[in-house]
Amino acid sequence: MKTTECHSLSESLTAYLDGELEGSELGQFEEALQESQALREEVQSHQTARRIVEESLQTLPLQETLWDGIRAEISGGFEKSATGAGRQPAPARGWLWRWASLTAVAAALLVAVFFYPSFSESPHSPMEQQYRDFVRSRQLQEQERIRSRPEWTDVEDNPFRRTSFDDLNDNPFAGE
Amino acid sequence: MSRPTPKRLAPLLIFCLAPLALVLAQDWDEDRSQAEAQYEIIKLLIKNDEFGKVPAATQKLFSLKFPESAEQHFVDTAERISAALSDKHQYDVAHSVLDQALKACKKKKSHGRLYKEKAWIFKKQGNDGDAMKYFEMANKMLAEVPGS
Repeated sequence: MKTTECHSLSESLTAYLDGELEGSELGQFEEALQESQALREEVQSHQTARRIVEESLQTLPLQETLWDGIRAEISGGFEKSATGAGRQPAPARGWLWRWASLTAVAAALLVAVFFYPSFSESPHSPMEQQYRDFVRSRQLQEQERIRSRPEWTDVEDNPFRRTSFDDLNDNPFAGE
Repeated sequence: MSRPTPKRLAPLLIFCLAPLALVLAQDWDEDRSQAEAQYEIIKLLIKNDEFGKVPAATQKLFSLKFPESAEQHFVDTAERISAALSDKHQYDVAHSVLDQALKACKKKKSHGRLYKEKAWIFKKQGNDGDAMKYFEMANKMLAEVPGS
């Protein structure tokens, strides 16, 4: 059986089971039904399934008020959302509350912006800051010394040489 | 009998003390020559990496008697020797030289400078705790010096 034929047969089968086939279509389908054992079994299985479903639906207790309840719930929900009724009312907050919170946020931002460098860089005490400055200046001095005098020559300048004691020649007790 | 006033006593004091001052200056001039020579010895010891002999040599230098006006030269000496030693990573020797200088010097300003030098050596050693401690001591000492 070709795919197209199979597809048309499937459509015809559904229509046949629903009782919608008429005229030549019905005649052709009945011919095919007589010729094909597989088709007959297919039709039979569909019919059995339909019967089981119908029987089980009949045994279910029908709640006549169910649909009315659902409809009422849906329409009520729409009405509530349209009118805003049924919502919990939001707590009333005055303009003062809103402005106060906005001002607090702005103040916090200002404090953060102004004091950020001191929080991140400066130490906790003035002494620590002085110490850092001292270390920085000594490091710069050393770098400068090494750059200008690569060899170890600072110690070459003997502080006890005569030239460095000129101040001793200014005797405060000497006469004019 | 008129009462002696400080103005009248001043020339008398100058007359009495002038010879003493001249004698002291002469003594120091001799010691200064010794200090100059000793400094050269220390310099050579450091240059030749004979660091073990440095403390004894510096002790001779700092044992010299010197007038207050010459104290700054001893502090300069201690600073230069300690810098030279720390350049050669001889931090312990540098500390011992600075300690000798601290004992020899009397002025608070000198002590302040020497404490700062010790703080720097500790910093170079990576000992921030002691560096901070000596830096604080130096600042306290220098704060007591008028005009500093």
